[in-house]
Amino acid sequence: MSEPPRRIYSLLQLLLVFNALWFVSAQGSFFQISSPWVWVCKENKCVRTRASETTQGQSNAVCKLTCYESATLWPLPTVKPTLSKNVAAFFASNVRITKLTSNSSKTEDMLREAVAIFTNYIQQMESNGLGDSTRDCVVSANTCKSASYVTAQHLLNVEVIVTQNTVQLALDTDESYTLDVKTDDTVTTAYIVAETYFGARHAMETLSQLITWDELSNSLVMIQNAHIEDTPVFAHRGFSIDTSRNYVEISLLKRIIDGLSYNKLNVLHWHITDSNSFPFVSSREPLMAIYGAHSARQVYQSADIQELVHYAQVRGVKIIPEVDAPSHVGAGWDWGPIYGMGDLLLCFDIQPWDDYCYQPPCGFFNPINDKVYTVLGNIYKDMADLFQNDMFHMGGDEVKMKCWNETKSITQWLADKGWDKEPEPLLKLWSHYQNQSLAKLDEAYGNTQPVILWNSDLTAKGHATSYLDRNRYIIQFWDRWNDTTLKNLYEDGYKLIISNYDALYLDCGFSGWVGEALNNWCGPYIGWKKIYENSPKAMIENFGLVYNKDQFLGGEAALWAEQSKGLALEGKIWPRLSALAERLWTDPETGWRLAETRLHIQRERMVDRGITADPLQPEWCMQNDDSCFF
Amino acid sequence: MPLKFLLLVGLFFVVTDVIAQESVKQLQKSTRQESPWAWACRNGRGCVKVAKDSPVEEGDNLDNPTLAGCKLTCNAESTLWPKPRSIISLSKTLVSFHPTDIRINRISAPTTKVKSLTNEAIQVLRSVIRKSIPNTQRGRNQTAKEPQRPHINIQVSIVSGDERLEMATDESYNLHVETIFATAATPASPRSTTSVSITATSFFGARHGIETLSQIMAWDDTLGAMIMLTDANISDSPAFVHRGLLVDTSRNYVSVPVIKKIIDAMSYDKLNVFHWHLTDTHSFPFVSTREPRLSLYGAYSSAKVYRPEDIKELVHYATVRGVKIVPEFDAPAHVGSGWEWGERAGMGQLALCVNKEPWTTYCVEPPCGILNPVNDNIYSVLSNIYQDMRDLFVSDIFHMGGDEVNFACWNETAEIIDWLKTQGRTDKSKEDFLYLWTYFQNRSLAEVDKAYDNKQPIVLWTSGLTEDGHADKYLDKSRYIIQIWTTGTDESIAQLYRQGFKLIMSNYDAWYFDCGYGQWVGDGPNNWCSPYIGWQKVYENSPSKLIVNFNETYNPRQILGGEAAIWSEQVDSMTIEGKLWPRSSALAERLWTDPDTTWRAAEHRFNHHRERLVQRGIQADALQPEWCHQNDGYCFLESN
Repeated sequence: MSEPPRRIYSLLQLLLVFNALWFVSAQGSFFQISSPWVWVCKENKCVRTRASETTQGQSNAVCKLTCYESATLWPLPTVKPTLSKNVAAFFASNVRITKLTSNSSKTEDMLREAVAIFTNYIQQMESNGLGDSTRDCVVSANTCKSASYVTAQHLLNVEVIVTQNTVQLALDTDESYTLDVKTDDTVTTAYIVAETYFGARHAMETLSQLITWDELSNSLVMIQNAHIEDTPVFAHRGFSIDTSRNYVEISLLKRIIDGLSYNKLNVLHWHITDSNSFPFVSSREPLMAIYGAHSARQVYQSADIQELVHYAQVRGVKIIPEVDAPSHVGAGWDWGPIYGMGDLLLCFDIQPWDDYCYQPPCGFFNPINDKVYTVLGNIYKDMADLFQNDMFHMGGDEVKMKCWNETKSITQWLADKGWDKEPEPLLKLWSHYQNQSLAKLDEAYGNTQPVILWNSDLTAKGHATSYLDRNRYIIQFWDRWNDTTLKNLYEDGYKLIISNYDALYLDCGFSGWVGEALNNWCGPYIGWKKIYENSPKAMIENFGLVYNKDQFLGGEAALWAEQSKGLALEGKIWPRLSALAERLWTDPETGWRLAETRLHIQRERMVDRGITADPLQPEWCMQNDDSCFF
Repeated sequence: MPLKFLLLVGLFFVVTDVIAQESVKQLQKSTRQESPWAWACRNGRGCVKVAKDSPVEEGDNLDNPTLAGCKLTCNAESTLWPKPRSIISLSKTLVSFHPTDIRINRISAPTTKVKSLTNEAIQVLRSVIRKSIPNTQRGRNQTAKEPQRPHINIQVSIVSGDERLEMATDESYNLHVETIFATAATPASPRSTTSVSITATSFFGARHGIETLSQIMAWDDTLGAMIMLTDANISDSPAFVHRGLLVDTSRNYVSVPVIKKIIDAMSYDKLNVFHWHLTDTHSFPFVSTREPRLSLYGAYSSAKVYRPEDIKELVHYATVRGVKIVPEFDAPAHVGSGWEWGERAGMGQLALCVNKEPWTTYCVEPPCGILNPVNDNIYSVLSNIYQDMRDLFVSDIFHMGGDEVNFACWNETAEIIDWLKTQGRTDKSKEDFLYLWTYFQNRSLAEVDKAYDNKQPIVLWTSGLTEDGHADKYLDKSRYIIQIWTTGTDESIAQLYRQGFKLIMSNYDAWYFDCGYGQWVGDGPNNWCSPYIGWQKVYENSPSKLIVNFNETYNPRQILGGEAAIWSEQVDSMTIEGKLWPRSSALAERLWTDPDTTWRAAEHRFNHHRERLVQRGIQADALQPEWCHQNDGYCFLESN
């Protein structure tokens, strides 16, 4: 084999070759189309220009990588990066890991997995690029090794140093990293230094975003020199998926986790059960899924979940399970009477449903049947076996009181206890349920981890402080951004996760699915710009309060799955969720406008990696920066 | 009693699918429990999930207690979508079979070409059946399990030699299915026979019959077998001849494989027109053999083009699936990308104001662009485009676009003003520019006619040219069909109708599927035609009602049909399927069946049809929690 000759990217050299080629193919047969356009960086914009009118022309992708202040990074690093304008060309086969330093073999194993994911992107980028190419063999470097100027072998070395052994992502995990890229002649080296594995994997994600496919040179190119220091603003950056209204296949959940990792989102909140179905296979309570799954195919086995948890962990994502109760239960809990356990469930599928709950089918726990707590305890134990995490979601939303109020055994029980004399007996019953089930949770996990609850009647002004310990409970806020509930919880000192539906519910705006309304309850559809500008700080300052960032763990967007199922749900998530990612990682002071082109690129990047994300604009806008504004 | 071939309740417990079996096994390990659920056909509800061991409600029918079996037999229309216009009878009994049991007995057709198309349509049926069977079950031989499975013999007879779908094509068909069960008296033939007979005037009718046949079949996941109705008698024909979808491939490119999937799904809905908005100002992906510079300059990339061979293949692919591809060449506005090379080629400015700012002054969305109608060279280029289209497309109508012509650009162009002067028009009035526009329309029409060597009907969008006082002055109603895109209550509909124009309805308030997403240009929360249009509104957008609402007498001959449109500013190959389906299916029933009933009566069938689309590989959006599909009739809000 010949020694790898040197290969430095030379614009001038390339242009001479390509201008000649365009000319030839333009005159040639019609199916050998090559573009007469190139892009030129002017005042931080990439301007489409005739190739024959410039010597500065680049491919659109390379122009965008080098022209913008922050390249094409998404989310933006919290500290302004230093990036060179030069790029080095290389082949995917020339990526090497030259150093992996960590104190534990477990961390090192995970780092190897992360490296494999990184190199896989790069290879995919290259094969996608070559696949699109209709260029002549002369410029197709990988297939025509004899071509003179492309035979060089530029190396990309990656060195990773991780100092801590943390392998579980927790609220206090340090996710920061430093990434230095240095190019010396024919070798580019990326130095990654992070406290934890999770910081290191974010750095690899950032590194992958400094690389793009260049259709002019038919090769990968990357920024030659960079210095990036980065750390997220919020610790909890999440997405909530509902797998009860409609089942979501494991393969699709993995694709969602992939997408989260591309955006440095770190929480998959799994609303695994609801009144509609119970797809979670509990080893200790197998009747739950037998009765409650939509079908025997539509379940999550323990082995699936274990694999998924690991899959997520390697991608920097923690899975938080939610068992929503005492409302939002139904399917799967209906076997009690047959098995001599009494009624575990009340008012299941009762009609007219709108008197009793918010959507069909209704269902409530029977909180005075002790067997409910036995079964719950078993479910919690199964979850403790499967999910490694530092917090648990107990749901607790939308408890309408009519069902309990009409159930004789309950009113009798309240009377027996003398609670019926109290101002809010049913609220006390709810709190009783919450305390009993929390005790079961703590017993199952053997700890007293933070517990998340949705805001509800129990978290209302006056109730929250009476019933919920703010050192124990985190409240996930889903009301409108300016609802005083938020103000009250904030003032009462609760830690908060924002999911205000007017900006962060991705299921809003589609057709009505019960009743005659043209659109569903929380329409209209929420565009990415609104998501991007939905800021905890603005929400708090809107109440005239001083913003204390430490009270906000972060936020989550949610896709309630009444109208989402199968691959079509991906387009509802992406790229809108990316807008949330930058809000929570970077928390920028600037508005959507400065982010638009980068988000467009991030969307293309995700598509390149196999995510079926929705487009934001005509592709023309990508090829003509700053032309699609009012 | 034909015991052997009826689905017995006992069979219900035979779960054969590998995945399901594994899941079930694991679930059952500690409990020895099978699924506790069955489906009952309940009066006034539909298929309702019931516990196997609990007493049934009065009137509950558990003859076909699997989900698939119940759905096929519970409703009067079975799971047919769109609903046939005349169902004579459908059985409540089922046979189970293996795909290899399907034999083609005879195809009688007047020409080998029609016969060959029919054979291809049968292959499509086989592939649709294969797709509906879960991966793990495909290719499994179930002979051992059910040695007495039926023979399914299909016979197709077609009268006419039509190979092209035209507006005059008879799409009607009759489907007759009859099962003769083996009995003790017929020991020589232990297998029963299901005879399927499809008769139609044209291939296109026969193809619809084959589609209907595929919908009285289903994969039964509980039985682990295909099932179908034992007997059926259907006579069917569409209410409207023009049942279409418009797909815009200029704002964003849509790949050829994705277009094929759209055509697949159209065929499942008996939609018959793929209106291809091929080009616009944004990009020019159509590779013109005679004018290669158009896509060289105008395509987003060399990969994002439609080559002649792609188009030829698509046209045939669509024909086999009963779909006509109608190309649109939108002009004189909505042009730009691809037309930039005129001056360099010594042909002068072909397009004006391309990418001109501020765009709000010159057009409705960036980038702007409009043809230069006083440059004779554009007509030779147009002629070449038309000739290329004639070579590739097989359509009896042509779409010339003609929408959203803003006069500001022409008004500012000296070349235009000078030309108007030569015509004695000096006041730069609206009438002057209408004159210019008409001049363009007439000259380009002449080029279309010359290229095609006929005088086919031409479709134009509603525009300034079709306004009151203009349409009858400038446009020949025997030549032009007008595609309505205003709201359904816009007075221009009544005006064009009164003037006698034939109409295709695409009123945006019901049939624009790109509405409701985020604003893509500027600050507003949602795009211009928000909100998102739910399937219910799509379903109830009745052309005849729109006309009657204007106090006009409805004349079905004047309404050719309708199209839903998906303009592609915010959609491309990645997500187009979920935006088109299942809403396009709602359009399909409106245009095929034109039912008097509302969406409510269709909801269960629609929900089920959505599941069928997904089974066949279409990434359709979901409508409701799956619980609603398993519990028909419970996901309503009773209005008080």
